[in-house]
Amino acid sequence: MDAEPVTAEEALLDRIRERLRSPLAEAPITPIPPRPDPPLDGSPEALDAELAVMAAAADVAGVPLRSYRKVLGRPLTFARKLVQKLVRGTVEQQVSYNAANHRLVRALRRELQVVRDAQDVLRRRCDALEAELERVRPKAGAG
Amino acid sequence: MSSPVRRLVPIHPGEIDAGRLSTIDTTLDALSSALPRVHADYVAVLERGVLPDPRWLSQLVAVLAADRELGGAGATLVGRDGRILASGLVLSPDLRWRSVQDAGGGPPGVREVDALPFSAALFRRRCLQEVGELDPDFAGGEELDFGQRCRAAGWKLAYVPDTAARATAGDGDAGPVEASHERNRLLFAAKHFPRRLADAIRTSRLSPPELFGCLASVLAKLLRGAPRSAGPVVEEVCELLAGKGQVRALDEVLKRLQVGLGHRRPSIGIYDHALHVVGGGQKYMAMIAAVLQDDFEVTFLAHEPVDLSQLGAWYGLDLSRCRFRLIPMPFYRGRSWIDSALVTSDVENPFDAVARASADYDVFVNANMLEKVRPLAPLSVFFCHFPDVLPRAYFAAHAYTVLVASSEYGRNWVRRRWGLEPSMVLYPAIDVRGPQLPKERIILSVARFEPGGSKKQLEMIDAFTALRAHAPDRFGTWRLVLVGGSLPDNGYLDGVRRAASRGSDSIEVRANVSFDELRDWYGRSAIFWHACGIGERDPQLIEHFGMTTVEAMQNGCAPVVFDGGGQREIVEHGTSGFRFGSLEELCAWTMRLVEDDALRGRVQAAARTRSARFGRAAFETRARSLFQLLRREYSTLGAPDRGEGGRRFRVDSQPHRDR
Repeated sequence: MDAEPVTAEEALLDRIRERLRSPLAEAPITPIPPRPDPPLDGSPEALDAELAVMAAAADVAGVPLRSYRKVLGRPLTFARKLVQKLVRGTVEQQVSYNAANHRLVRALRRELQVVRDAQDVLRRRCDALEAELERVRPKAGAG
Repeated sequence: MSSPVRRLVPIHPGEIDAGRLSTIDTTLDALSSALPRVHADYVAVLERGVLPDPRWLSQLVAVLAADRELGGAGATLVGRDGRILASGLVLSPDLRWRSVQDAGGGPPGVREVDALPFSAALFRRRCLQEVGELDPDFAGGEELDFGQRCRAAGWKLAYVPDTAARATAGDGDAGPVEASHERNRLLFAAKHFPRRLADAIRTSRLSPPELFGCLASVLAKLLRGAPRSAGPVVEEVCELLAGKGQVRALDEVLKRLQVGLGHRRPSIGIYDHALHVVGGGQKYMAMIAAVLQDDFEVTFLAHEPVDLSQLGAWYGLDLSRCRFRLIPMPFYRGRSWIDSALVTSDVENPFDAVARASADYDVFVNANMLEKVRPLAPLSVFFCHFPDVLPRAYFAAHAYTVLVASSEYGRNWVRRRWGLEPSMVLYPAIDVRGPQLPKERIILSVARFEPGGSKKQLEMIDAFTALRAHAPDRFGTWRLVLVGGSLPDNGYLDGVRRAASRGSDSIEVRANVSFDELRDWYGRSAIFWHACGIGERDPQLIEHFGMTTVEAMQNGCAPVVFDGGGQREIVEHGTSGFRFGSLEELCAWTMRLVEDDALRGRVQAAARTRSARFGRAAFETRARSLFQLLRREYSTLGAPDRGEGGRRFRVDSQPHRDR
């Protein structure tokens, strides 16, 4: 007798789910939620890693063109070289743009480091001055 | 701040048996711990940070002593700003609770109420014992349920407005949040007024996600309370919600309820668009399925028919308790490979067929990084070995409950390319340990002969040739053996063979060898090389993990591997192997190992030890614990305030942090 309610309960839920089957098949798929903003990692290591990726990917003209495919390998390599010649002007422009970007970001990265270092120095001086102030304040009050 | 107990004891000497329960967090815990120890007629309950007036206790005792039907009496709780934070509670016809003041009217003096806040109340011990423990499902609202049960047991409750207690800190009962109130109202209806539950839902102020977040707990309460009579109520509630077009959310609730009430095991749908192909990623997931099939109903979903016994045989696994389900994908008919990049924003997403199928399971697993499948199961797991594609049209990886990376390298790129934080790292399981054979002067490389040459066999031949030319006396008796799988008509493999033949018989190329032969090479080889990634700019072309490196280490080879990608997580430079950034470094580290037998022996032993981290036992333990965590969270139908609604898990990856 104890098992009876469970059985009835199981049958109840199964029955309701079965009834939902058809409307479910027609129910619209809920839209994909917007992607959250990517986290920004401003640590020196992360910035250096991004700079390395930028430097490695800057020369888009230097990609290897050789294909090792058995039959199509040679024609493919030839075709790629041909295309490379045809678009050389545009690609070179992109390469110089990428290189300029990389130089600029490197300069900014260096400048950021200089500012951070200067800020550290100032903070230390400020802390020392505050400590000194705390030390002399009681004496000044007593005077 | 002085403790209320310390103040009360001198005021009421001889009357108080004061107990301080230092590790108690909730009133439920406090009463459960204290009641068996109490022999007095009355039990006072004071919340942390509440300081009663000096006459509080004697006034409440006097009220209870004057009426034997009274089970409890409570005071007014006043905030630091003089505002009344809590008093006696009265139940309205709409099943909402109001304070005596808000309910209005009534004569001054002691008033009978429907419930008493536990902030500063006195109960008759017999009442507490008869009514029983507080119901933990009413998190933050236990007093409402308790009051109802008191009255059902024939006890009256009284509010004594003339006595007060003061909240001395901000954590006095400042009134629960609206959503919590509303959830408790539904639970209250389910437990005490089941016939009014549908109406309570109809008039609920909860948002749809909040409502469906707590509905499984509410229906469980209803079914547990009166299973025989609950049927029509459940039907009425479901009809109401289905009528509002909430069928998908409702079905999720019912699924969860079935698991939570123990009707069935949770089901897992594992989707792999390339299940029919033999590969490392497929083996990774098949191993997880083998581990889970006894605790879950596991079904593989794919677009090509796959015989699961064959699948098990490929990977040496028993998948006999798993099932298979075919999902037709007309969009890719006639194509041998499913390339998600073909699905652009101007076409309907063909992977919606998989999304719809995913709704049939409690947990949906996207095993092979198909980023355009929207998960519709209550829980979902996205396994990512490397984010090969950029997030474009229909990208849905962020919609999964858990995102698992298979290496720290992969995790790092998921962060950078997709802006998502993987919940955990689950390294692949490596289990290729063979018999310990005497080591020979063999440098082994095991990697596919990729037609594009990304595994760098030609570069390794160059390095070995250079080593022999540089130190013929030391390298004269060493051999380089290149083992790997290859497709037929592989021009790159031909090139490797030609280059190898130029190095006389010291370089051997072995394509598509048997598993036994592979293990034999691992057992006999002294040094292992892995150069994938050298000279590459694209992070995709750097080894994401390096399974063959671990296989070699398991068999006591001293690894010399490219310093990038997942290899950094496997080989500890200078201890369990060496890592190189250039072919010159590859030669230098190899030279050291060749020249120093003792060093080579030490590195080989350390490599064996290190490889245990990536063994099958570690993998199975972590995979099982991930899914058991999901199962526990999913099937616990308890207090409704436990992160329901926007569930998001973070799985601690502690075991691997000490690298």
